[in-house]
Amino acid sequence: MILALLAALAVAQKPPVFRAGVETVYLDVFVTRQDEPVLGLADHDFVVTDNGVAQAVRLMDLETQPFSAVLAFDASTSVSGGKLEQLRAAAQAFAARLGPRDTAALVTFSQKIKLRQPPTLDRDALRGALLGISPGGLTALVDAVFFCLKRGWGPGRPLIVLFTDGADNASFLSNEELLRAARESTALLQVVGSSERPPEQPQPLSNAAPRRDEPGYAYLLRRAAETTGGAFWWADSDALGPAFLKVLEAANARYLLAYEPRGVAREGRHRLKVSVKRSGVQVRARQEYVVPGSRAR
Amino acid sequence: MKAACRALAACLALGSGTGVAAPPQGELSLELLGERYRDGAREEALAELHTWDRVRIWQEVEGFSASLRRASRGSELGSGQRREVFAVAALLVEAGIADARDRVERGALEVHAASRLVRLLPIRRGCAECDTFARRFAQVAVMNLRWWAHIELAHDLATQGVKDFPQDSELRTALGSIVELAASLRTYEPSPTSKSRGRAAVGFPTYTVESDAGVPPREGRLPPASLAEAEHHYVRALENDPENHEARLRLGNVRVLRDRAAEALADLDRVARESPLASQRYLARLFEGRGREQTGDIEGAARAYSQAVEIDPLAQTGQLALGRALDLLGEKERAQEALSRASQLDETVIDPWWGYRGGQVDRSLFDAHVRQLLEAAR
Repeated sequence: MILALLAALAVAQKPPVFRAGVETVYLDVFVTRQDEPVLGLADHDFVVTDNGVAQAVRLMDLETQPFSAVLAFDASTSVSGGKLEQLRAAAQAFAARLGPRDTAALVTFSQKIKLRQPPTLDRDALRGALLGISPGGLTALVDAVFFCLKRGWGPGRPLIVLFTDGADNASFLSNEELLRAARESTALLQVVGSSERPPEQPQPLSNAAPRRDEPGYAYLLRRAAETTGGAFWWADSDALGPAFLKVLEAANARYLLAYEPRGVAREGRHRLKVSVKRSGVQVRARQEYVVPGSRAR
Repeated sequence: MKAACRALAACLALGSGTGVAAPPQGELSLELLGERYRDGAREEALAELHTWDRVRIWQEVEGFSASLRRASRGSELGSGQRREVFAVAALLVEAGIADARDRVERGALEVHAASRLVRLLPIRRGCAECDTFARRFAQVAVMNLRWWAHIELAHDLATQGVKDFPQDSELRTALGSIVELAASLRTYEPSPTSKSRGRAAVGFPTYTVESDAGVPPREGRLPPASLAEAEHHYVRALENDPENHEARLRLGNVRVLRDRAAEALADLDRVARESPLASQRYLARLFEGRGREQTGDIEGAARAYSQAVEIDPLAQTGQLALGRALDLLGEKERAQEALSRASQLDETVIDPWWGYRGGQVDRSLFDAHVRQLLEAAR
């Protein structure tokens, strides 16, 4: 789910700005029942509050909002051999299922963050970039996620799909700086974590307490992802493909809401609450966004 | 003659109950390799050692140690024996440091083995050349191990080094650096229901050899560490040598990490202006930027990060930090430019931050240390 502000703001990722009666806030919303997408909802089924004030929302046509997908892969020493081949295959399957107007980019990170393929519609170019990955080095995970959240990815709605298999040992930026970037970013962050014995898929933090077996780095990434409206997906290290496809299926089954904020101050932190007039469903959406001009932390 | 001596030593080793077998007849011994290393055939000696497996290395070191102890009959090593120890230890530590990059366990074993030999020397007991060698050895070993992989070993060696040579500013700085690394590892706020609390458990590799070689396995453990302890070591190092830029740089960083940026900024600025090493000047501006952010001076932080980028435009961290500061200031286009640069840099360029984070000093210092060690070994 993506908060995209002012569709007219193209090349660089611009912060949310409200001019009275003009700016629009977009919200990606995922609605599931027992992990299956709930389809067929209309705009009157949704209730959205912005800093506690109810907003009038409308449902947008997904066809009008292509993705700018960013595949961000851990390429540290631990990701080599079979795991790398799995990753390449998963990425290609993911790219093959993108829409014809969705662009795809490739970023890899060890201690070094490298943009291997800028956003492109050319799936062959992406395939070539995937083949060029050569793992090795430490892991600057926090720096890499910050980079992906803050860099502009073109006019499409940024969807970052990040893969990692371990903790950070090389970043300069702090955990809190990462979480701030997640609050301020307009991107949707989905994280795929790999483990030989993956824990059960966690419930969103807003709905359930975290699990005892959740590694610290995964908890951090999950907080970042859920702030943007995304999620953390565990994958068996021998079967990465299905997790990536689940990410894309979820993205394609989402609802895209839009509203022009009313009754709320422009600058600062905006806490969002999205619910659906249905019982027994889970709703996942961006939790907050920040309008610059304040040092909201 | 040498072959006969080796054969005799082998018999004695077997009889001594060390359980260590001697090398096969006709093969080079560690002692002989050390001689060649010292006498100018450095590359050949290193290449030959490179072909040995870990079991053989350990057995050779044990055999050599045993023969030295027997020959000295409980007294101090004689001058000839000391020179043998210098040569072999220098060979092992140079090989170990090089191996530690790619063959983590082997490198650690070589350095550990070398340190055992060095402890046979009469350090601080009237042998000036032993003291010189032991100090240089400690500097080479401690300052060039990959601390991330060998933190316990590095900590042991640094602690012993500081104990032996408390006025040595470089060793004191190295010990502080290891403590700083251990104390500043990234931690994660544990989830509220998590079983683990406090510092994230980061596994350090152990190194073992096959059990029949008799090497006790070492466990990788974080030594108890605090930033306050690291700060203490840096202050002491600067008392011994106020021109120790590495100590001053690290003191500044630790004070920023301890939320005392105001005390750190002058030191960091001094390093940035005075250090002859570009890597130190770059890091000083990087840490200054973080310190200025802490005091709320984002413009000052952006300036410091810009200066870091000027010093090393190919280092990623400076560009990333600059991008972040510009973003905080609302200068979105310049921020995007910096972020783009960060991701399009030459992959072969090493950012000094990675070396700092991984516990390594500037490469030029390593080469200088090895030269000094070789001088001490001759």
